[in-house]
Amino acid sequence: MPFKESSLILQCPKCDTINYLDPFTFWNFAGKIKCAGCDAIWEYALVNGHRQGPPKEGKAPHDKLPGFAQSKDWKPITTKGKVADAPQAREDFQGKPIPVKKSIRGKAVSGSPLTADDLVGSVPKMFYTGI
Amino acid sequence: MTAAVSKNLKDMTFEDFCRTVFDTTKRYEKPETLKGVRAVSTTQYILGPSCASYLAELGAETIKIELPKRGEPMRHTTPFNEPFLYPLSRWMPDKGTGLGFFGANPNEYFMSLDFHKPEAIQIMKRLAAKTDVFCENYRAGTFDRWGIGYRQHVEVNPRTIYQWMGGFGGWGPGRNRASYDILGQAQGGCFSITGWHKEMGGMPSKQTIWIMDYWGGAISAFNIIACLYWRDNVSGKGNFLEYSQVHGAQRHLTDLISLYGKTGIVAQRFGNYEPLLCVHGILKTGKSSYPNSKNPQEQEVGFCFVSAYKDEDFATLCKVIGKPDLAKKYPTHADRVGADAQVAIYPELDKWAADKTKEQVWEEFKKAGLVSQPVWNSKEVSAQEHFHLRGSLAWIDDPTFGDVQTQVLPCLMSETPPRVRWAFKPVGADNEYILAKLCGFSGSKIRELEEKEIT
Repeated sequence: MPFKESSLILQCPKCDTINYLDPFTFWNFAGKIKCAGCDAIWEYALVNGHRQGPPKEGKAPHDKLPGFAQSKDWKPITTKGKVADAPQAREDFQGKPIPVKKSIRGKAVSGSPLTADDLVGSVPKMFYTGI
Repeated sequence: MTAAVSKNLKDMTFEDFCRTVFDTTKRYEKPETLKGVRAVSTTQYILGPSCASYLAELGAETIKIELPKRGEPMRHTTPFNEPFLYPLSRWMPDKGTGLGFFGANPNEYFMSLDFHKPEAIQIMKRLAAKTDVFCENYRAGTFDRWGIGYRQHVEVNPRTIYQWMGGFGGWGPGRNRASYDILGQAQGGCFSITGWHKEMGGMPSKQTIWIMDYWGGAISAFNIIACLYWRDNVSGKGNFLEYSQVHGAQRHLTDLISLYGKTGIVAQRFGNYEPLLCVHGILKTGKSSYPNSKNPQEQEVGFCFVSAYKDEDFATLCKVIGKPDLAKKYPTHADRVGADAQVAIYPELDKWAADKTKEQVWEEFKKAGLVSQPVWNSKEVSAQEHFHLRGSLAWIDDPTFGDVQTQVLPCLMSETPPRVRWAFKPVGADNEYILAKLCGFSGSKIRELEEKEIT
């Protein structure tokens, strides 16, 4: 088991699945982690990213899932429910262009896609003053 | 300033005098420091553009040249791919410019030109004859190879001030390496001294914003202005300037270079504490100021800076947190500036603040007369009257994009204040204006250039 002593990698003592513990979630942690390979539950603790001892087998339910996992022959495990969703910048994070028509002050802003008909030269018609 | 106004200024309190002479509501009526200076900027991302933008905010007529239709890469960067301003260009109105472009492109005129075409090089030479400053941050030697580098510029215009900005410079062992702000932070050593010591978690931390690029842009603008002075008052000659990003970052090691040279000591990261002064750092409070916010970063607890490194201030701080024994244990600065002492002192501040928000902590420190400041986020900064009144933050009615909040050069000048007239413009928005005014091209010639995709 190459990651037996690692802190932010929990290599499952039962099935050797490599469970990556993302620092965002696990930097300071004490609880139970479910292996993405065999669903075994492991009690584990980290302080400032350093493990506080080897994983100990525990009972369900788990507290957290690993952020990413690979089988012992390096095949990724990405099945929903086996690994955690990526942490989001905001609850309503979309990761794609968000159309906006008004600033936070409620005034018009050109924050949505336009067509050629919406422009005079390079200026949106709604702001064109002829100058 | 009239004699009557001058007399009135002499009678005012100093605060009223400053408020009057720096009145930001009057900045658009006053002269501009660099009016009459023309700069061409063929720069990308932040290092080069920030240099050009500082000149533009001081009044230089600054022309930014980008590749046709899509513009430079920074237009396609935006936080988490979400906010954009439209149109990117009149050829691509359904695409937007990302807010990354906001960092460094105000007041400029935007022209598009494809440097790979010989006609474009000829247009650049026409512009070179009529400009004072040329900024570029392509790989060192690229413009020289294309025939519009410093050596070619100076044949057309010996008064050119040519500023190259980039990673490693045009010569030296690293000259062929690419560079970014973070690489500069890593190579220059800044990364190594920012972040947490091993015992506190250990990770180095970069600055979120591209600080080495902005610093580099400011230094380059400063150098350009110095060279303008030398040209116009001393020599009549231009200058070739080279700014290297990694050297700028290395400059940020300041006294730590001398420390190593003298003692062999390699400086370590020390988190939010301060190796030179104690107490002079950031403590963590225990309560969020916005516990019901949907934004995870607002839900987190707050942080507050406090400075109490003078012995009497430290004694006051210890009294505030109910730990007068600390003042007895570390009575002088020499007693408490060492790492062991700081690691013992700061957790006591965190413990005291564990049931408080950063605002409550600040209030306590203010009452005690200690210098302190809560760590504010962008929303809190935007709400500060101090920044708006003094003009470093401004809402502008941008002629292309509408109501936008932007930043202005954070320096006040009584006679020639900096100002922002527009945030930026779409790619090629001013092609006709520049090609007609500076190159003397007719409308049909300009259309021909566009059809051939030279502009």
